[in-house]
Amino acid sequence: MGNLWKLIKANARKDRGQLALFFMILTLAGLLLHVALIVSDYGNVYDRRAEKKNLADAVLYGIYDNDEIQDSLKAQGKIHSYWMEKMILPGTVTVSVPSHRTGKKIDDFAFFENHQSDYVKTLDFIERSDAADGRKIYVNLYTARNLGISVGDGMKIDSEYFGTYEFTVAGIYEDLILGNSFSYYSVLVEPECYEELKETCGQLAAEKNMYFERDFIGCFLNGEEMSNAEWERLGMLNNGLFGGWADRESFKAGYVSVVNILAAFMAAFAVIIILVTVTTIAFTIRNNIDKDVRNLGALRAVGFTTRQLRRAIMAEFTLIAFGATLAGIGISLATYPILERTYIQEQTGMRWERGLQASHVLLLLAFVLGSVVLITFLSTRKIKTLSPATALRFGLSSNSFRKNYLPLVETKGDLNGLLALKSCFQAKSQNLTVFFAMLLVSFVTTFAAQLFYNTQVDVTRFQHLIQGDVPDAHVYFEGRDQEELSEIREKLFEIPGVKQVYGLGSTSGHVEEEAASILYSDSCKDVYCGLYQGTMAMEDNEAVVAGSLAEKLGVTIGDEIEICYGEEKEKYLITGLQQAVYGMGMRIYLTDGGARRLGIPAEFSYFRIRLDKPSAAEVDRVLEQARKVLGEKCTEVENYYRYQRSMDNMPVMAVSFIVLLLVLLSCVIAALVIGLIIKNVFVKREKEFGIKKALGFTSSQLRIQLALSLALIVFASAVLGGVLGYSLTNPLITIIFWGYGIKKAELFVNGVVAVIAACAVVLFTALITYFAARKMKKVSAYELIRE
Amino acid sequence: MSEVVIKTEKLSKSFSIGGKQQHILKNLDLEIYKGDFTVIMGPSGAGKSTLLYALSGMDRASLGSIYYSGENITKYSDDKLAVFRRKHCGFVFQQIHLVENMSIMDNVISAGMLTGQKQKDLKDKAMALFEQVGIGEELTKKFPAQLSGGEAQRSAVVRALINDPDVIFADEPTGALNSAGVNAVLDVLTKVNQKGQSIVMVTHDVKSARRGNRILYISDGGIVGECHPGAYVSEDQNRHEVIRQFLEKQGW
Repeated sequence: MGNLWKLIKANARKDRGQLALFFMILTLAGLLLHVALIVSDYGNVYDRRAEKKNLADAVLYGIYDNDEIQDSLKAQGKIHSYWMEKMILPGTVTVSVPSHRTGKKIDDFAFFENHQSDYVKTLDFIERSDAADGRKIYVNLYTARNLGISVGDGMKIDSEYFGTYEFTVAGIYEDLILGNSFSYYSVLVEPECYEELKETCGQLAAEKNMYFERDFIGCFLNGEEMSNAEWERLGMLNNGLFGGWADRESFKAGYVSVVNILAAFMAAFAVIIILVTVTTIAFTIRNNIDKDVRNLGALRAVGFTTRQLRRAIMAEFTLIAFGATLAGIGISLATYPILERTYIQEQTGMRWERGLQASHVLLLLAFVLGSVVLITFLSTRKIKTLSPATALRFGLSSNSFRKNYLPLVETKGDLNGLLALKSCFQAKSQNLTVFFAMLLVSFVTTFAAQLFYNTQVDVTRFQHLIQGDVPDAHVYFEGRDQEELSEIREKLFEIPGVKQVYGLGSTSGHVEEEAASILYSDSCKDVYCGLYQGTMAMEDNEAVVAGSLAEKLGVTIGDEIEICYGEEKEKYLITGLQQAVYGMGMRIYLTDGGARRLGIPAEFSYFRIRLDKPSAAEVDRVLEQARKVLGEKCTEVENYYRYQRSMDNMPVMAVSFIVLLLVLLSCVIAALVIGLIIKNVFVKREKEFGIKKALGFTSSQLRIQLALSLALIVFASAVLGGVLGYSLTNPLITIIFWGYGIKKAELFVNGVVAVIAACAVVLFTALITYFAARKMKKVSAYELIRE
Repeated sequence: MSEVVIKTEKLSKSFSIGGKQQHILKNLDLEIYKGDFTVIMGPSGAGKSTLLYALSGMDRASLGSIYYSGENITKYSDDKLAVFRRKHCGFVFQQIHLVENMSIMDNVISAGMLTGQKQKDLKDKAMALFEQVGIGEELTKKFPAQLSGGEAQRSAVVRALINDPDVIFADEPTGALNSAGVNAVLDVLTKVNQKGQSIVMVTHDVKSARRGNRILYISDGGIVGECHPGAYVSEDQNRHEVIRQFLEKQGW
């Protein structure tokens, strides 16, 4: 053990430059993997908290007849208890807070009363200051982070129907039902304030026949599963007036789906990075063995066994991997709270469970150390049969002596070029490893560059992948009958630059036992639904079904499915399969006529507009025209093109931001890996350069020779990596999003981006080669030979 | 008096070893004459190799100056020193130091191409030199690792001679060879010297030292003794005795 430790220390001293780079690369990989594990754990965190808070198994919401709903709940044998709460949905409000002084328009806002109720008991206060002055309001974490408010801030809420209310934020709480991007910007107000709002609700109901108060009911099951149809029947009581239902899995999806996507991205990048790293480790070990074979021979001669020598090398790299992984975990634990506070909470609406999770650490160590041990074991096979005499006398060279490529006496050409080519052809084993490592670097760079393009330059297809149909503008209007709608559509069509005008509505339904969103349009041909097979539904008995839903149902194009909406059931022919991350791939597209067959009202309160040549300014111009031509009928317009590209567009921007971080991280790691490869090559050939320098080659000549000898391999690997990155971006994205119902991703894959990425790798390698070989200039020939 | 090829003035060389400054050469004044076979001897760590590498421009002096044919080479840039070495110096090392991924012939030709000589001329010249050192054409196609130590060292001598350098620097050229190899290499160097080329050789070996016409004894970073046994013609007892007595006097 003592001898082994001495060997490890001696090796580490000798390889300290390489080990420092490995440490950095593995630290970054460990950091990324650990953050991916933390981020992917939010589902478990949610489940644990839900149990602790005794969260309802499902909620119903709508306007119910009190007796009828209570009777129905009691009659439903599978529900053993329930609680009932009231909420006020004021419609569109403008919220002004210190960070949004001009006010932010919010459609899905909800007031709850701060009182001792079963629902309020499920809320977990993170921060609270009941001593705050003025009218107090408590906001959920999602609302607080999205609006950028803290306890003590002022908050003004303007509503067309309820007037203006000014509050002081007195607390922030975690709400595991209504505190995520899929639900409401929900707040708690004091009983007196709620009473005021309730009074206004009563007046509006009496005077304008408008209903803003809703019932919100939490149900607990007795252990038996309730089918979607049974839930839907309860949720749609009172003719389904604003009614619906959601089970715990649905709430949870609202909290964790964005972070799960982020985790998938991070894990994919981290795995590629680990792959690059282990390849580089293999390369380094093989190089080191070649370089140090005489030392190894000497150690064998004095009695060390090959097993001891291999163990020493394996232990050296494993210890580095161990230290680096722990460092990565440490850094992630230290920095994650910042990322969480500024960014992740905005997506999850939940707090992270702070502290180290033993299972994460063990999993990470097992993965990283397992990979490193395996690769070091395989790479050190070379010395398994090392004879001390052979090693001491002849060494173990990776150069091929079977053929003398480009003999100088017979080959015409520039001396530097010829020597570089000779080195290149002679070192086949080295070339293979450099090629593979650079291939991975080039692949990950190209993949990252394509993602960068899709999330930062042209987000259209990425939006489609996440959201499905994404128009350039929304035009809201009054008037619902067909004649009026046709007139509005025609007027909008007449505006120059408008390409498509269509309505798209949605509701919930189910097929067999699978809940699904039913989307319907009055112009299906214009809807982008992520169709990847077949054709769009054009007739009223046709449907396009999400690929993942079709898989679950065991149906495909040409089959018939029975779609249920409440008590209604109708059969439809599947004409196509679609995909989109939203809704977890559980979607059905129908024509508006097809929706009406099921009893869905299929009315539209706004039209979606697409332009020929969209830009934020062009959309503004069209919307201004729309206001003019529709006059009072136009109640609201929205430049969705601008919104898509703004930071308000969660979660697309969330994914974009993380992708940007990953792209930057990939570039750093690519730089480190390239640096390490070049350093390895240089170290291995240091003596050769020393000899050549002694003979009279200048440092510049040697640097050119080094760069040229790698150029062919680097160029070939960069080209192939670029081609692979180009062709595998969509398949890889499909794999990442497979669990979200994506069967065939169709992001922009830009040839120019691939070429730029590949060129960047080549240029970067040339630059690093130049700097890595600075030693050639700084150090004398004598010292180079002596190294 | 012969022409001075290399001259040093107060040459000093220090290394930092373990953070501690070690002074290897101290204010050393020395002249190397044209056509001489100068042998540098001394105990281990005396600074023999350090002096050789400093004189040849392979390493830089810490202080002092080195003049080559009257020109101060200590002021040369790195690239200018490289050009100086390729034109004026030939090297033979104890560890041979042939470039391993090049054939023996390519090792020699590449050194020749550096000075702008034509490949065809170089081939003829190299073959003639190989013949002189007893290396057949077949061996020239092999790689260094495929040769014996003696064959490889004789090939290294050919590489050192390919540019007709003014001075050949040899650092323990026979240190890693068997007795047959030692004689072959020494014979080649002697022959080259007899044709007028200057040789500066560091050695521990008295047998090798006998080939020199001037023996310098270095100790503690300075020249402490000098012996002139005359030009080498053949092994004779008298020459052996002169050198033995000189070395004994130095404490060898």
